[in-house]
Order: sequence, then structure tokens, then C-alpha cells
Amino acid sequence: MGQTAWEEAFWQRLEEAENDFRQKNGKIAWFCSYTPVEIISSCGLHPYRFSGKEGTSYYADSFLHSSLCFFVRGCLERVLKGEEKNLEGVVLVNSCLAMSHLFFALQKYSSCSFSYLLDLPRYDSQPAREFWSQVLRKFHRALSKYRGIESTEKELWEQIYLYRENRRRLQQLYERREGQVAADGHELIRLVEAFTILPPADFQEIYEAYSRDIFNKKNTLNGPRIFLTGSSMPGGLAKLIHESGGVLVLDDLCIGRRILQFTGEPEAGEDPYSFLARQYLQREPCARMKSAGENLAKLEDMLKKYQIEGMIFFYLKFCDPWYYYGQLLKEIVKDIPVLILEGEYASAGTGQMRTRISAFLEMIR
Amino acid sequence: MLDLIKKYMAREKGPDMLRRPAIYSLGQAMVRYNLLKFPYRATAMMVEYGLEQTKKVYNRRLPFVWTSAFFPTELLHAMGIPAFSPEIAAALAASLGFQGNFLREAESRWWGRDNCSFHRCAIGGLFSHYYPLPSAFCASSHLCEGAVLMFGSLARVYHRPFMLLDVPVEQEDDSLNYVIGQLKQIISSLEEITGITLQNGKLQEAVANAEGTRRAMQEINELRRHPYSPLTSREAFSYLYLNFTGLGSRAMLRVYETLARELEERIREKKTPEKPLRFKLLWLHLPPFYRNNILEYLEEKGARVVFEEFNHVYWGAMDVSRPLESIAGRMLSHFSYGHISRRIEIIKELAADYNVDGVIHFSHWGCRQSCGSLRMIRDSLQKEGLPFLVLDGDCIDNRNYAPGQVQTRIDGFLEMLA
Repeated sequence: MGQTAWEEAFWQRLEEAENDFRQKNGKIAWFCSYTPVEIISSCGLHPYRFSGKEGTSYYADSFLHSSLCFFVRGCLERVLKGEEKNLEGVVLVNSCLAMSHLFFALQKYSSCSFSYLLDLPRYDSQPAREFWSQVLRKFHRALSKYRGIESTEKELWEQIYLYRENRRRLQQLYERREGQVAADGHELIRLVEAFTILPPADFQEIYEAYSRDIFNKKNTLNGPRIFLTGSSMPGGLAKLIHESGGVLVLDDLCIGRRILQFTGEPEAGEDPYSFLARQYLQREPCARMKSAGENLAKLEDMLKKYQIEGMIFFYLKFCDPWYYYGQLLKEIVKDIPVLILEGEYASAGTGQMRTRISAFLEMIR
Repeated sequence: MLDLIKKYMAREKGPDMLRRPAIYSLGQAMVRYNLLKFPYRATAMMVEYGLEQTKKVYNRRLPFVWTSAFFPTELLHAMGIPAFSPEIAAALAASLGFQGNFLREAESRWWGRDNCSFHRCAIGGLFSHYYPLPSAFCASSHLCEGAVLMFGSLARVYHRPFMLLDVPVEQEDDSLNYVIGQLKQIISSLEEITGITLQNGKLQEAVANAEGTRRAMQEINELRRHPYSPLTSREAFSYLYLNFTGLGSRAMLRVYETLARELEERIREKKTPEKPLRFKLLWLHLPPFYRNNILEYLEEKGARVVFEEFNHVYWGAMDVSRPLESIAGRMLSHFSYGHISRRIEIIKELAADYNVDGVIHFSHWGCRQSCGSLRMIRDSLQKEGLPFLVLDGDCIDNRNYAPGQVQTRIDGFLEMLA
């Protein structure tokens, strides 16, 4: 499972590009995949996905209650410790109570000059889309005002198309996975991560370098075909499956495939806010959405289509939406083995997690 | 008599009684003939009403729904659909001492102890067939996320409709219209599911009841500021049953009007036992519902909880001519929803209104909403010079209750106030 020289050089280049980006000014951190990055970008700022500090959150624990999930405490920890340079603002979504509390804490205790909480509906319906589009319009107005500029709808459309193109590119990688796969899912998740960090043009370059070779690569990966789903998770978990001998074929993650489901065309006369609202709400839902349970019914077909042999479900301790989702998942998925992992935002590399995944893969083999 | 009932309920088969409608008729008769003693006539009226509602639910002659704590019950009272509040039922189970059966049932299936015990108890109660299976599950999204998830999950397991009122955090016109649209949708779904049609004028009647109740509650809260106010915090908390299930009913209006009259009379007659009061306290969030002596211990030490955040009347006057708008406005104006500054401002306001010496927050394990930003509450109260005590605990699960530890913390807090 060692990397070729080309692969090593590619991942090295990706890391350098991300490090360069981190030195930039005008960065706006976002935390939930329902954040309309297109709006932030259209105002001349650099949106990027913020991930929490793995491990113990000594500082954050005195600001956020210990019954809130480790992800939000890890995020606050990084900000409070000043590990994130040139952070100009934060944009959060009230996707769960923990996120709302993180917003209050960041607004009060960080030195960011811009902070905003987006009011996301809990289901997809026409009235919900209309409401969400108004929320997005107000957000665009607030951000333009903060920047002291007049960001136009035309500029917003440009960003929408740019991001959509990159989403489509990444989706292509996810589409060719019914049979044998050449690249493990952890690589795709890493690329999605790069998509959520780098400016669209920079990401496009990275993607082209990757795709040139990956589409020519022979389908060589062997091992139990795994589906990964769940809440936010520590960075190394997907890779750990690969290292343990599994092939991560598909995921249902907001740090993976789910964030890419934004590829539709605008309807005649549709304004950018309505288009964004429709695209964000109609994608496969996060566990906090009302339709998450309904969506589980579609899961079985997908598992068959991709010949999945085992499922790994991870949820962060204290994450209520994914905890409840896990119970439904357990009831519904009966045909394949499911490994349920509860963890902190730090446990991917621990021996315990490694042992459990290895044992699970061995059982499938 | 109440102790006898509790003793019986604690037996293994005790909770079986709860499923029999006749037991509620018996309870009603006992209330009517004064076989059960209550501190106020209003309390007796509330108990009688509660027994009547629960009897209807277990009778199963009418379709009924489960409602989460903050669902707008005005709709249900207008339509005559009985509501069952699993959270209130959890509190009742805890007060009668058999919550352990339900908690263990839920824990054996999936739901672990990091989850809210109100919800674990409700899940266990339903899975073990003590709680009645409704025609639909109705929840609102504001404040309590766990209820939304639990209701959605149970609706899926039991193949019942799940009606969610999605309440935005911002109090703006778009939010109001969004909520009004959903209320209309919920009414038509309820009509379809239950076969009960909302009659003309009934919603206005329910809102008129809610408005009357609001005024009576305000009157009671005003009376509680009086030094001779006799209403104890434990008594005040018992009326939460109505706050969660009764708004919009004639019964709730009558109970609160009666309570206001009784309080006024007792204050006028200075019937309150005059114990020396060293400290006045404000209570945030809910108390534990199982047998505990926290409030009594405070009184023993000369401190008294003079008001509770949960009894604050947070919504403005309701306009009977625009019932849906009034209900939506009430949903959006909850002080504990939205930005934490809203809650902090109300806490400061209540602390000033009731002239308290300190504030206690009972942090129910698993309640992300109330506990999440405690540090900010503490910081703000400190600026006001208000001492703040956080009591970590659990409202339902007494396995997490350590009386000695709680008393030590209270002693330390009161020493600081002295």
C-alpha cells in the first residue's frame, strides 16, 4: 500500500498549497457544509473549512460545557490558542445546538472582526427554500456591508459556477466506483478537504494534476469494500480503514461526498439566492434534518449498487443528531455487517480504534 | 395518601396501573372528595384536569398526539385533540420513583447515559408499552433538539407521522411568515390524520384562553415579588405540566386565575409562615423531579428560591383576531432560544425584578441547550455582582444524584453570599 513517487509528490504539493493559503489575509472560517461559500467568495474573502484541534481542549473546556461534542470544543481550542493566523471572520450555521454555542463563544472570545450565524431550516420544502433564500440574501448584504463593497448578483453567479465546476469534477471521481477502484476513499476525502480549503482556481489546478494520473491508474485495490458514514470525524479515520486493509469505496459524509451534491442548473428567472437555497436543501441530508430518516431507505440500494461488504458508522460522543441516526441505521441495515464506533475528535490514531477496525475487516474477509 | 400511591408505584407491577383509564377516574374522584391534599385549590384543579387528559389518552377513543415541551398546544386545544407530553410523563415517573424501569429499557436498546434522561425515559416508557402510542408525533424545533430527534426516530420506528414545527432563531418577518405557513400545514395534516376538523372560531377561542392565561401568569409572577408571597418554588414548578400541555385550554386559564386569587388572598391575610429569610435566589432551568431535598435544604439554611426562569412569561399580548400570527410570535419570542444574550438579558432582568442575592443553574446532564454557554452567563452575572452556582445533576435519573456533594456546594455558595 506504499505510495508511488508521483503520489508522494502530489500530496506534498497539496499540502504546500494549503500551507500557502493559510498565510493569506481575509480568511473566513466556516464549520458546517451547509455554509454558502459562494457568497463569502463573491465578497472577495477566502472561505475555508475549519476543523477542530484533535486531542484535549484545555482552553475551550472552560468556555463550552463538557457535554458539547469534541468537534466544537476542538474548534474553539484552535482559535483560543491562536493557532489560526490571519483569521478575519467566522460563519456558522445553527445546524445543531453545539454549533450555536460555538458561535456564541467565538463571537465573544475570539478576535475575529466578522461573525455570522445562518438560520438553516430543518427540512426541504418550498416555504423552507424561500425562507433559506432570504437568509442567504441577508447574509450577502451583511458581508458586503462589512467589506464596504457592493457585491453584485453577477459576481455571486460567477462564484456559484466556479464552485459548482469543482464539485462536478470531484463527483466524477465518486462516480467510477461500482467495480474495482484505483484510489481509496480516503484520498477522495482528502481531495474534498482541499476543495473546502483552497480558492476554486487553486483547487482546479490540484485536481487536474491528480486526475491526469488517477484516471490512467489500473484498478488495483483489493480488500473488503467499505462504506463510511457518520458525523464529523477525526481526520485520520478514513485513512485508518485503508491502512487496516479495507477499501473505502463510498462515504456519506459532510466532509466527503455529501458536500458535492450541488450540480443542478438554475431555473429560468431564478435568482442566485433561490438557486443556492434549492441546491443546499435538496442534497442528501445531515442527520439534523427531518428527512435524514427517510433518506436511510435509499441506503440499501446504494449498498447493493456499490457491492458494499461492510459499513462503518462513526459518531462523535455527545453528538445527538448522529446518535439518533445511528439507532435508525442499526434497525434498517441488516444485510451487511456494521461497525459502530463512538469516539472523540482525536481517536483515529489510537490503538483501540485500529484494533476494532482491523477485527471488523478480518470478520468480513 | 400520595405517599401510599408512591409506595405502590415503586413495586414492580405498580406502573401497570398507569395504563388503565379507570385509575384516572378514581384519581379524579379522590381529588373531588378531598382525599388528596393540595396546597392550593388551583393545584387540585390542575391535577383533576391532568387526570382527565391522561384518561382520554389511555381510553383511546379519540386520536391523540405526543407533543414536545414547546409545541404550540393552542392548535390541539382548538381542535379538541388530547396531547400526551412524554417529558412531563418522565417527570411524573421520576416523582413516583419508577423512572428506573424506563431508563433501563431505553439503555438496553441503544440510548446511553449521555443522552437526556427525559427522552430516555420517554423512549423506555413507549418501548415497554407503558406510554401510549399516538396517532402522530408533534415537535417544535426551538430550544430542545433532543425532542426533535427522539420524536422523528420514534415516528419512524412506529410508522407514525412526524410533524415538525421548524422555528427559526431570528425574530423577523420572514421567520414569522415561515412559522405561520407551517402552522397552517400542521393544522391540515392533523385534520387529515385525526379526522377532526378545526371549527370556525375555535382557534380564536384557544388564543383568547392563552392570552387570558398569560395575563393571569403575569399577575402571579407579580404577586410572587411580594415579601409575603406563599408560593414555594416546588409548588411553582408543579404547574409546568400546564405550561407544557395546557396553553390554549379553558382549564389552564381557570387554574391560573384561581391561583392568582388564592395568592392574593393569602398575601392579604399574611398567611405565609414568617421564617427568617437570609437570601433570595433565582433558579435557572428545571429542578430534579425525583425525591431530593435541594429546595428544602436551601430553605433550612435561610435561602429561598423566589422565582424560576421557566415561569417567566416571555411572550407579548396575543391578538385574538390574528391567532396564527400570535402563536407564531410566541414561538419566536422564547428568551432561551436564539442568541445567548437574549437569555442573559432576561436572567438579569428577573434577578433585578425579584431582587435576588444569587442565581442557581441546575445543569441537567444531556441538555446541550441550557448548559452549552454557562460560562457566558457566569461572566455576565459576575459583572452585575451576582454570585452564580452551577449544580451539575440530572432531572430524571437519580443515579447521578449525590446529596452530600450537592449540599456541600450549596453550603459553600451560601457562605459566599453571607
